[in-house]
Amino acid sequence: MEIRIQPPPEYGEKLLYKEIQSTLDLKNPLIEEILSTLKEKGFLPTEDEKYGAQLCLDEVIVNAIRHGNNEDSSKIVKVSLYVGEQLWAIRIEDEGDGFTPEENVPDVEDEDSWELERGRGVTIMEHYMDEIWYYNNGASVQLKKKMSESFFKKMCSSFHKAIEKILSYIGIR
Amino acid sequence: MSQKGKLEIKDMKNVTVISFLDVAILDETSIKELGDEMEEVVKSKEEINLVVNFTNVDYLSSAVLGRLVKVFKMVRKQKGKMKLCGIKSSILQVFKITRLDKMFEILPDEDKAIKSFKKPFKLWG
Repeated sequence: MEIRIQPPPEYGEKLLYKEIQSTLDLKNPLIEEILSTLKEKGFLPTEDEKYGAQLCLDEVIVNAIRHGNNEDSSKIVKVSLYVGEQLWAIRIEDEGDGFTPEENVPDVEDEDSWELERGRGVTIMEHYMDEIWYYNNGASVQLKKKMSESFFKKMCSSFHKAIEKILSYIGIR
Repeated sequence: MSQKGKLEIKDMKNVTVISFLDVAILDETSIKELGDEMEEVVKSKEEINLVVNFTNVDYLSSAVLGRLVKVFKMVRKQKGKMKLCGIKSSILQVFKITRLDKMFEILPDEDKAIKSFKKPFKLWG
């Protein structure tokens, strides 16, 4: 994992933008809103995908509120949701000083790290997401998730069948 | 059997079973309450044989893992043992990703977890 100088690309259309105070009580309603927006757009077709997204959103938003802004309610966290044709991305920006990956991200393969009571967030996000782009000294991050290929094929196939039916109904085929 | 906040507690001869009552354990207040309640149960007994039953749980955040690790260390310090059971596949995946499946003993259900604590029968003479 690295922290980059340049900001990440904006993928697709920005569907949602929120600025929230740094209090953890505001986290779950925001996550629910993001998940339902993604569901409406045809993402998260399975419970496992929904759970993966929920876990990752929880991690980044908690990190920003707790570690980035130290739960200081005068500081805000900016949240942007981008949706493209076959992918979605979430961008989280806090007002903190960022972080140093080596100091904050334990290696799960190291047995000694199993007994730590925190620090598993990045490992979880790396598993579920396709790209994690830290920038701004680590005070901002964007997570990207591609639509699973099998689901995309299924969607294309359903769309194709619907078009065939319409053409057949109006007598073109 | 008794209920304590977010937990159901069953005290048996040599095993205590804690079951989570919530389907989703996601908000920080619930996680703190649940962790504190588990710690109280552990503190109340020396050398506890503890089973944590996840059957009701569909979602949990990684903060819960941290609290489980804390409880695990308390149990071990008191010379007890802690096992987990009834974990759904999506949650089990999180244990695997974080390698906690190697630290915790995880059994399919409560019955098997309780039986695993029973000492083998010894024949005398």
